Amino acid sequence: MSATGETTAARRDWPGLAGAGAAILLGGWMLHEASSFSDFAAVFPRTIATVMIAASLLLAGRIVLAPAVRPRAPGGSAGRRLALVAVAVAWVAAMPVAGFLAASLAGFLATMRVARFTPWSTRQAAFEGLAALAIVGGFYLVFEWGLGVPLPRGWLV
Amino acid sequence: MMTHRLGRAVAALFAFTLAGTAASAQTLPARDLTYIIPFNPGGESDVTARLQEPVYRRLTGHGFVIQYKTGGGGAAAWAQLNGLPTDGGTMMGFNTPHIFLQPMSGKAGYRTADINPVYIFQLTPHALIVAADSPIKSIEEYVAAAKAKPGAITVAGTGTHSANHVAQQSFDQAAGIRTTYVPFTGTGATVTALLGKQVAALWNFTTVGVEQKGKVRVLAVAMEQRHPQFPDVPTFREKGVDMVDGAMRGVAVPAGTPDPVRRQLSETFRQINADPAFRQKMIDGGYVPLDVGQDKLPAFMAEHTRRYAEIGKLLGLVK
Amino acid sequence: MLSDLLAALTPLNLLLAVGGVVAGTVIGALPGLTATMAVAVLTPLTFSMEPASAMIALGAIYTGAIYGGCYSAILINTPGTPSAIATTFDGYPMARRGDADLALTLANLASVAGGLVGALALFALAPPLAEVALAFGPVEYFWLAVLGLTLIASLSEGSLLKGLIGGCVGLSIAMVGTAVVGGDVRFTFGLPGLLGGVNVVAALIGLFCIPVVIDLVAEPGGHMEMAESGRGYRLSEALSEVRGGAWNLLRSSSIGTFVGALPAAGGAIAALIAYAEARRTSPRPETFGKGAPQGILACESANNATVGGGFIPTLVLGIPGTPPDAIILGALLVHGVRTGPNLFQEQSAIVYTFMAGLLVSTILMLPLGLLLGRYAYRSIAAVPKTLLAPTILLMTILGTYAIQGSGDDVVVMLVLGVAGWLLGRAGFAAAPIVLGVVLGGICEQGFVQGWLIGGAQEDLVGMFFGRPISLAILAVIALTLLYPLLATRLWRPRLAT
Repeated sequence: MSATGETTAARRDWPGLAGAGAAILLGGWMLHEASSFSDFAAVFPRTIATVMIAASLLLAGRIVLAPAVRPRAPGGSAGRRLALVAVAVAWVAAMPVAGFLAASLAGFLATMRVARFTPWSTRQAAFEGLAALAIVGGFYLVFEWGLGVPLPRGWLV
Repeated sequence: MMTHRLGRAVAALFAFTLAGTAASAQTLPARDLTYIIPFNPGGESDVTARLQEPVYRRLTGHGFVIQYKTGGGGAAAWAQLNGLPTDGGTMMGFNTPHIFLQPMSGKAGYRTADINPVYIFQLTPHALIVAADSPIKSIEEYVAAAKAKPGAITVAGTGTHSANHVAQQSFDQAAGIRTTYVPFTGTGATVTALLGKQVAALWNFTTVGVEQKGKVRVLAVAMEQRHPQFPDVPTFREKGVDMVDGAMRGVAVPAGTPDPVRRQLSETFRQINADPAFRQKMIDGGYVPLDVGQDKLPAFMAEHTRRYAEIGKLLGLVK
Repeated sequence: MLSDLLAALTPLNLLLAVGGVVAGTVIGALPGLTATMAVAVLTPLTFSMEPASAMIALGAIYTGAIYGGCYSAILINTPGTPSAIATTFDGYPMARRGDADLALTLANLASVAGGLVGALALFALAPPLAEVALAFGPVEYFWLAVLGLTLIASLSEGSLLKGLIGGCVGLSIAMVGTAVVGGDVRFTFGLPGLLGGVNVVAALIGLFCIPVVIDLVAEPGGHMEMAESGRGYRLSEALSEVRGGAWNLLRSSSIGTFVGALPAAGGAIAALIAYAEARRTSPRPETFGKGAPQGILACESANNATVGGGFIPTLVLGIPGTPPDAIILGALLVHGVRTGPNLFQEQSAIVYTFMAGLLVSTILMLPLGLLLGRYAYRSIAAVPKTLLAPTILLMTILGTYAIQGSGDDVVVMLVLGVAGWLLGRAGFAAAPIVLGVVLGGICEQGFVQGWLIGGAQEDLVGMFFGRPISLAILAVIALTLLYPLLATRLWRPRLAT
């Protein structure tokens, strides 16, 4: 996941190979499921699954046989990426329990921490904390009261 | 426009926090009612709700917050009905025959018994419809054409195992014919297919006959008496086919909603249906107002469960 | 008739047009809030108005919402409405390299041009176009979807095979849920939340937006290249681009008008097909997908042309051309206006006032859109990353939840988003997947319905290959697929010398 991946030109496209493998598994599963469908509901899944498996086999063959350049590996911090996904998952999971407002305030602040690269000064922290409150609160008001979307209720509202 | 609404909303915010604490669990909450429509905006369920709202507002001082939760011919919404708040502030539209037929497959995500109906307010009777310039002029000619070439007549309808599909299957069985049913998503797509001569006929409701007056010919309607909008169109019974049926619409609440709240809602919908102007708009649109409230619903549901069990066999849903 | 047209210019109606365009644009710019939702949410506010004024307000909201989708497409790579999917292809690359201001102005000009073509077609060509729309049967929809899918070839970013696999993944996602034909429950893993299928908008937000946020937090650098200040709207640059692409604009607007008039297609498909055509006929197709201004002109003019186009079947046949049209028809019913095939004859006053109002709203979109676009650009540019990343994440979650008040949709969005990022790492681009998701339903239904009807008529071959419109679309498909080969054979040698 480090930025060094870009330099080696002759490396095999292992992520591509993994993707092809996953697509073959998905196609196989679809074919298996389709066996219990009625004819009209099965024709499309079967066609798509077959095309997907064929293309994946070709791709896998090409990756294994011809040394290919690995697609650009993105630079940057893998840890922060993982942290962001974890925050997003926790945010969504907390919504039904804690309600939209509480979950979003916590999620918002956590995401701010993940996206922050330099330490906060007190003034910055105060300003951005207030901004976070205003943004979450503003969106909440617009959606719940302006657009009539009943958002999940919980700890705060 | 948004600001107007926002202003009202902010005022409502304060009113709500005050009222919310005072309201007991035994009456409807003093705020707008969330009304979940399991179908696309612009469809029969949506139009009915939009017409109900002004009357509801006059009766209660509150309106509807209409939400659309579509998919699976309504199943996506009904499978989630019992997870909704039970304070009476949320209700969901439901349709027959959908709630009887869908659970038969065992994969719909809900059982018929999971739907707690509060009121059934309308019926849209089945109607067999052809284009105005179709060579088929009458129900007799339709049956004759189908007998001459079994399976060659294509009939559009909305969805599989839906009201339209039931109508097609029941009629074909009763008349002893075979036609090819072609399912589409939504009434608009079926009407397009009919007017564009992609299909020979259409199973839908009287409402389509009203909307497309002049462009289509209704061959027969599945009612006991003729519909006031179509005095010249025979009923299936007149033509010797015993078919009086259609799609019914009503509202249901999540399980656990207190009994007094249900009765209050039921009474409110009875009053909406009794409003003369509303009633006239419904009839003009091809609908048939129905009044099945809390008192009559248990018997009604039991009877229809029995009836649709038969139809489920016909459709091959139950073996 | 003239007085009916002038009735659109009363102060109240003008005010409604301005308010409608602004409200629609803002709602359309928020991911998850589609044009359909904008119209549905604001419909009750129009119940107290005269029917013609209500129609003008709703038409303005609709036009604005379709246009507003381009803001988030350009600025954060997330189509605000499905109609703006194709706008992300070139809009976001332009923003990344510092040309967001130019991209926004181009989108504005294109939207106004497309909107005008659509509205004028509604004026002048409504009845004949409605007839052509009726001739479009299931098989034609099937071929149209296939034509859209040929775009996979150009969106694959290097590996055609990976694009093809991605497209198949998208088509598989589109098959989740209850099958329209057959009624089978497919690929739901037994989850009731998936019975209705994967919501297209939720999939869009996940696949496009989540990877952007994930990569946004990984590095300290800015979200996009910041332009030096004082460049204004870059109108003269945009206008010269428009002059060079006049033919592109006209073709794309015509495609948009026509596809909009087809009751089962919509803005997303119109924009994708216009984009494919623009790329095919461009002298520099290789720039498409990397920030080609002509790509933005094509899809933004096409999607706004669908507004006028969609009203053609709505007003002539009483069949909604697009989902927002269905709501507007419903609203007319509530107003006590009889809709249906006789609307044009019986209510011509309302219809003509409305059409004039649509033209006015479209023209108003030019100044209003430029102003709002500048504001959107400045706010995205001015917000520090510490606030931008959580705000985008908040908008994805909130917007997805708002589609139909469903927490399941949010989970689906997040799962697809993370999967999309992983696939992107492996070289499988998001665009072909999204193409599959958007076109899958139409493609499958058209095919199976055509099969049913052709089977009943005992003429399957004639059904799929014997109808004139089908043959015409097939010819375009063949041209699209073979053109790159022909072009290399015929012209490359000469260019090389």
